[in-house]
Amino acid sequence: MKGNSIAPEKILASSEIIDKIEAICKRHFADENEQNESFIFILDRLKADNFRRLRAYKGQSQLTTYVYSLINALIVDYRRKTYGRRRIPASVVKLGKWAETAYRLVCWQKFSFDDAYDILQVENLFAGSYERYIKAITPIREAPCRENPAFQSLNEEVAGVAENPHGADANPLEALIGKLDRQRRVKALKIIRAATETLSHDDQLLIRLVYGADQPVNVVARMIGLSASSARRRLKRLLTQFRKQLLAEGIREP
Amino acid sequence: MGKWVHKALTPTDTAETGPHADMEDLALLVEGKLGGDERENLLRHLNQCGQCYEILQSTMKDVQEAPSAEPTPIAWWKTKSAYALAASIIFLILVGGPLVYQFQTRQSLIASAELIVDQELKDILLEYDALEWHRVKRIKRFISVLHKKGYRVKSFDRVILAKPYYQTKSLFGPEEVLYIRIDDGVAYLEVKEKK
Repeated sequence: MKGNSIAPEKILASSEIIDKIEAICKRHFADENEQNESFIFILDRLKADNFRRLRAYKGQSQLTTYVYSLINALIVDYRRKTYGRRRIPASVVKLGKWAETAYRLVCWQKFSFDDAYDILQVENLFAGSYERYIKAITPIREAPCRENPAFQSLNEEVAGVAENPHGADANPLEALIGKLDRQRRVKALKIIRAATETLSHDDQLLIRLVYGADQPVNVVARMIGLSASSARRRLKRLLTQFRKQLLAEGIREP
Repeated sequence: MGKWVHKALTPTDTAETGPHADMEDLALLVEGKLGGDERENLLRHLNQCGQCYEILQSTMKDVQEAPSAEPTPIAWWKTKSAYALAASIIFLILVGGPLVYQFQTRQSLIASAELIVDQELKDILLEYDALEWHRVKRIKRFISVLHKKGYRVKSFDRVILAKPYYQTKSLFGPEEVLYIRIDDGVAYLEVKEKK
């Protein structure tokens, strides 16, 4: 689809677009009711104010790419509208920001409590030992969580966190992190995050999308105006920088 | 994707107060068409705003999944299809050559044929339920379908169906074969289930 002369009603009448909206809703929500609700929400929002969002299209990009980005933005809106109504239980709120984050990670994002501990460490939200953490989370584990039935489990294998089985093989950073013990893992993640934030915007996005989101190098390269081979060379250079910084902090592959 | 690096590298700021990325700029970035200051500003925002970063990621995924997504350029001689094409050409020359020669030297018209009943044939067969076809248009359309399928049949101006044809109801019903025999300007048709 190309051009900005297509009437918005016709865009929404296209089976390709309707199928895409449905597919995106299915990708984001496992629950059938939520899939249907988000689908209707997106259609309503696209039609709202006499198709305002679709009329904003200036014809500079491909129409389909524009519509895909709109649909994805509306999914974020839908999630905020739906989940925004969700409240963290008062018993958790009174424990502080670390507890709210832990609750959000485990109940809403379906991380295990163990993983949440590591993330809290990386985010500098909980400085105490693991033993202290286990004691401290008791009120969180007792708090209600409709979204995640496995909430109260301390088991590492909590379903729902998307993981690519090939991720670690293809992703040198993840492969390294996976081999480290908890303490080193938290330290390494902090180093990687801090190192990424010092890079140029191009390099940051390259690292984030290739190693943090498993996007193909050639696709990200095109976005930042590089050839695929230049992007690969740049990634190699950035990984060497990371490696040096990790080694300087005493982190090496076991 | 790996959960650890994913979590550590995802921008966390939701940029609640600041303006979010323009969707068309985001689309242009995904297509690799955004340059200059606009790209620089958008990249700065994407490295901070978790919400726009998420939209970017999802859009990239959708564009890659789209049927019109441009395939990764590969030298044509390295593609499997190039090998398949070369093999097909050799096969056609070896097998088809003698047949073409035979066809050119002795091009005869078919007096009988069997062909799988597809939707196009079904439409013609179902047009009227009379066993004998009289409408010239219908007969001409039938002949043109046969020609389109590569059957150069003897001429006929009447068609007689052996028994009435009814559409099979099941979506996964058995395939049907149309048997044609042409004799003295009359095409005799019979539809049977494919065995």
